Amino acid sequence: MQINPSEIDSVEEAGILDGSPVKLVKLKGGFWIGIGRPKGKMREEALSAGSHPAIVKYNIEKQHPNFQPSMMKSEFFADNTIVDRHSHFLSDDLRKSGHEIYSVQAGPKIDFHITKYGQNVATIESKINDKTLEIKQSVYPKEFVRAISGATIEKSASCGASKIRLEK
Amino acid sequence: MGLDQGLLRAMIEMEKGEDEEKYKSKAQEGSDLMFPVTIGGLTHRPDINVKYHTTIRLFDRKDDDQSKAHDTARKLNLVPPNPNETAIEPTTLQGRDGNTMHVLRLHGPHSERIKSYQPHFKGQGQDIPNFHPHITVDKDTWNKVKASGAKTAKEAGIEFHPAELRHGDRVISTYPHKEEKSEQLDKGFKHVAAGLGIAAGLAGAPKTSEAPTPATTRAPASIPLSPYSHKKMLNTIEQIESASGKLQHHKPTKHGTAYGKYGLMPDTIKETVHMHPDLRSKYGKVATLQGQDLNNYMRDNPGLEDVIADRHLQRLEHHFGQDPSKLGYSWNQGIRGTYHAKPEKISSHPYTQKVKSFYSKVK
Repeated sequence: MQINPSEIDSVEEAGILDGSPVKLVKLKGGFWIGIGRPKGKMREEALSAGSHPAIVKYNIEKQHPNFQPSMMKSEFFADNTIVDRHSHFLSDDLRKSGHEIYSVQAGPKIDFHITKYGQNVATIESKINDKTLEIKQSVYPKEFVRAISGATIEKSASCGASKIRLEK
Repeated sequence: MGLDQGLLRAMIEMEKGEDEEKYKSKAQEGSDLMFPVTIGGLTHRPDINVKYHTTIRLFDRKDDDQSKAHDTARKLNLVPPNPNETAIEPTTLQGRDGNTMHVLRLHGPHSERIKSYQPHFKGQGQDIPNFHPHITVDKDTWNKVKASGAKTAKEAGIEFHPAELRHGDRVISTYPHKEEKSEQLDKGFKHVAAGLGIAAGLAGAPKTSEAPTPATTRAPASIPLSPYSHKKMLNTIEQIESASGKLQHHKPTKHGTAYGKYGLMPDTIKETVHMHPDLRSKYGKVATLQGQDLNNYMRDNPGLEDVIADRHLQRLEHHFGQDPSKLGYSWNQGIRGTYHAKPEKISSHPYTQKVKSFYSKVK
């Protein structure tokens, strides 16, 4: 992958992998790339990429158990962010075509991201309010309805919400 | 006082050496608070497939309240004997008719401590006059231990495990113990060891945390390890279920569709994760997943099926010992199904036949 310096918006230290620094590069188009040098590799390479930095970091942690994340300056990388993957609710066809569903929680705010090969397809916003997950009405392709239902129920259960309400 | 007449009668018959199979079935009617034992890695007697153990207290199914027995047991710190500090004496117990039961009698402070638990169970279970802790063994093992000249349980390859309250093959409860320093029992052990003629080996060994030195230069007991291999059993199942991962499309059943190279059923996956806190904290989601969602989740967590298969087989080994036929049958028919199945049904089942056939071939 070739990235010109003119395409880079910002670079941030994300942590250490096998003794080498891992950097998160934000491109001007809004795409994020995690770059590092895994053990045994001579050159730096893209470890993960996506439209949300917390998801990029989550995937680096999943794929490289030795990754030691550092405290992040950017609010995007706030270490209290909880990322969870819900892609098991997607149909085989959607999984094969590179789709994923993640939830990114920062405090009471929970966003569900539908992505395709790291690119954002749709975001469904929600928040936890008094043990209720309140979901803002969003537009997203209908083939994701079942998966989003599963993801919201799963996320509600994991954060102790007993009700789900769809806001009008 | 609740005396399990059936079990007592069975024990006497065992002592007579008349009908060990009958003893086995009778023994499974009552409950037994015991320290499970392994000898040379074997958990069960090869002759009648009864678990090696040291009884702490026997209970009667009809007259004794299991919950009361459990309540008493959990208040005691039931510390498994330290094999280094437990002297053994291969001996025989004579039945009333002069027949013989082969036992390894336990001596030393750990044996005394097992005796000391008895008063706590007053009014529950059997009061056996002159109760002396021992391990009843098959004649071949007894001969090997005797020929080896082993004086301590350690030398004979004996290990004691945390106490369990069992009803037949079913574990009702286990009793974790608080660790204690072996020095507390050191003095008592040396006294008994001296009586058994192994004082010379202990004379220069004040630190009881180390294994006592044998009195002579003889080699340690050479009890052969069981040919059973956990890994081999897993490979056998993998071979049967999916031709070692090549055919992973399982037919749907009324209990759901199996997953992966070991043919894990959804309930097995959920139960195994639920039973292990380390898995539950990491993969707790599986409890709410079913069908394709569960399969996808398993696929998204590579290696999880190996961990679950490994833990599930460990559970089956805990129930059914190291008999590949029984383990294979229980993998296919479940734990309850295996307990309810007659031995002939188990041995003639097609899955058992496959296990027998593959187990000797796989590596």
